[in-house]
Amino acid sequence: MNERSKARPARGTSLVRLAATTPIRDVLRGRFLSGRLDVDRIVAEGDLPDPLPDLILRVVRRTRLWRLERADVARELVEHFRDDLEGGSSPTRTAQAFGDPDRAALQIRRSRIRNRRASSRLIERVIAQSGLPESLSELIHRVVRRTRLWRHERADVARELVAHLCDGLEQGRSVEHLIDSFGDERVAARLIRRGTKRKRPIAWRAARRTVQTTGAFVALMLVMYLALALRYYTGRPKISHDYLAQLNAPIRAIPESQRAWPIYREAYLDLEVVPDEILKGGWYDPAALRDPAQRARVSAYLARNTEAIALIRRAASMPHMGKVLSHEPDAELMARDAPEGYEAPTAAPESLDVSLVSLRLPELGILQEFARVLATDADLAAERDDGATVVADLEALLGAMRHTAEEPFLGADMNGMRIFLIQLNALGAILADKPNLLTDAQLIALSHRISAQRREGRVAASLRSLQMIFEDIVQRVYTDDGRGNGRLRASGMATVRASMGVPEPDGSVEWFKMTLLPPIVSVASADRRSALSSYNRFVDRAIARSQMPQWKWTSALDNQKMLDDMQRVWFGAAKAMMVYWSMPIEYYILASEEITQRRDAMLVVLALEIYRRRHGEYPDSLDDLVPDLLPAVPPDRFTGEAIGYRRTGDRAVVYSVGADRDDDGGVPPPGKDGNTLASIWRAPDSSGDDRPIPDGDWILWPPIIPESRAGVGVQTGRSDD
Amino acid sequence: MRIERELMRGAGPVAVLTLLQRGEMYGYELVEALARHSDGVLNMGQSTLYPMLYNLEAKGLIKGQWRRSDSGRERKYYHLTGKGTRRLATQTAQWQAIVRAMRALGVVPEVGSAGSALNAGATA
Repeated sequence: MNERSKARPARGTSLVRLAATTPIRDVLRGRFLSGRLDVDRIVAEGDLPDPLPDLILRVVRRTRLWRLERADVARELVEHFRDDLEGGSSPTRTAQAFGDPDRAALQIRRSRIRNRRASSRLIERVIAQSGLPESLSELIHRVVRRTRLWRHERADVARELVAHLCDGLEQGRSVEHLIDSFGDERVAARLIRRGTKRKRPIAWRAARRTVQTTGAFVALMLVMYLALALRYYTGRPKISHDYLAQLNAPIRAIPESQRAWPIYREAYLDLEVVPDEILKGGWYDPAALRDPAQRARVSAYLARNTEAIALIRRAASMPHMGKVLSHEPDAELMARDAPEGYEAPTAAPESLDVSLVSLRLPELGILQEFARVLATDADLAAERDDGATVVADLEALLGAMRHTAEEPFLGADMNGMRIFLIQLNALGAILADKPNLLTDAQLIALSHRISAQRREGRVAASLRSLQMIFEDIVQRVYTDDGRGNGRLRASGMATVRASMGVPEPDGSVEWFKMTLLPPIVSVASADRRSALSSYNRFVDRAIARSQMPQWKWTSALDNQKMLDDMQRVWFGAAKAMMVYWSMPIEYYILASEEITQRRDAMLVVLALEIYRRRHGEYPDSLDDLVPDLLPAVPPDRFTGEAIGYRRTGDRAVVYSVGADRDDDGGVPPPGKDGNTLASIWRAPDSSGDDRPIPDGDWILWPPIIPESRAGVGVQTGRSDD
Repeated sequence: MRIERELMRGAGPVAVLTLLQRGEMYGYELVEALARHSDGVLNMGQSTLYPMLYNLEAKGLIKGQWRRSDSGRERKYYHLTGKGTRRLATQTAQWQAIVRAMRALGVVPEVGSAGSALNAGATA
């Protein structure tokens, strides 16, 4: 090989080609780009004159030998031709003397294949040529075979053992002595193998160690995964506390004679299906029932159901709701409401189906319907100047509200607030429409009843019940280690998924996510204790917020922070479950503040009306109502200052400054929904809220209606433009 | 006397390196020399010697070379490398320290003394 070829590969040899023509053996020995098998390069580096390079390439190609052998053949031919040329031959004569290239290629191929076979018998040859007695030859054979080394290594070992035993025989040792002094064959083979492998190239040993390490790592991971999978798929939740029994204990203690629910139930079964006119808006928007034909239909409905309505009023007057909480469907109620052909499910309920989440609370919906019926009845009674019925309906509404909110759930309190809102709206509309309908005594009685509807502590109680519901869910999806902790397991996850309507895995990716992945992810998911503490922390924050008046809030309840917290420790359906049980909380606290504001406003309105009757006109200021008609002027929940009041002639407006916290003199924002938008609390720092804040006040009384009936309500103060 | 495997594992390589310090040797020659110089104490069969030689070779302490002997047969002759020479010096010093310590404990008798130092002390 000349100097040029030693220094660099042939021109045009790319790294890829070099890599492709480097034998693995060279790589294992650390010569990563030897390019030793590149026939073109070997020929080019031979610097032979034409036509010899082409001749070599043609012969080599036609041999169809292994790459290593082709490279050997190319080298031999290069050397052969070079010797020829140095001997004085011309290139043409050398090529001619070489003969038919195809024939030469065939002969080379045959010769090389013979060599291959001879090489595979090298060990046998080494032993056979030694002339050792058969027993010693067999010994070497056995040991060498047991070493399981590479062929050339085995041949080397065989040669050395042959030499040793021959030396022993030469020294006059007997065959038996040599066999005896050899030692244990198996141990010898093992030790020889170990020692010889240590002599292998460092690259090979590094590769082997890498494979071993990777294999060990994979095996370890597999073992760990199996352990996790076993843990994940075998643990089962243990339900240790009967929250339902705890909740029902005080309810069961209520005497039958004090229970409202049996009467409500009877009324519901007696009552005809409530028409849409009543359910969809008539109760809060009297204008919706302005159409005489509609009013006539509603009036006829109410007349047909006088007895049922009387039952509702009687039920509302009972001290307690007294409905035992249950998962069992009420067949009679279901039969009344179910569409034709509906059949109640008969499958046995499972896990979450019997948790607090799945309680059947038909009373909440039923009392909502009753509230709309009573409000509509009051509206029509006011039209016919029947003050006694109006008061009876309004008081029944307060009773229904109290009964609804008696159940210790956030949802029940939300329903109670809705009924209270219906009552306040109905009364507000009647006072605006027919200010002289009710007597002073009736107004004062209503004022006292409404004043008694205080919400202090109610939100905290509901949120605590939410914690109880969550604890009940947790005990159904987590295992219990007996020390207050546990893990999310497959059966629990299946329960959560089923309860949230997550479908069964469909397709291999979904199957992987739902079946193979969870054991791994469950390690990172929150355990029972941290799930509860994470949820409880959020609820505690919400309770702290609810105990602070709205005007002191500086930012929105930090839902996002809680979600971020959960992002780290929760996954999949479990996280969704927690989010689901957290999201209504802020809305609930806001609703509680809103109903408090509306209640305070109604107390002011009732006081204003009594003042007007006594003095012939509305007062100049709300301070004139204190202390005879009001203990104090209630606060505007947006600012903490006195609630807004404006008198123009014989009309009065009670208002809050609303979301913009700016007194606009009792003028609501423009647009159909302006007044509603003004009522929605927005953080003073507008954190996380890009919606524009409407400019205008939140009118609390008289009612804002799109098309005011003559003399009633406040027209929206500005045009939509 | 048969030496326990652990002791042989420590002593064998030093013994082989020491022999090779005198000049190159082939396998059988080493076995014979070890047996002869140690009164048979370091007598080792091929199952022990050759793996040891391969280990020493793998560590670069010795190097083997196939050569044809005068009898015409091929033998693999081993010789000490530079690294092997340095290792031998270190290990020799260590062995000497051990022997001194053993001697002080009376495990190895003083050269030329009839009994151990401990025995001598006990009789004084």
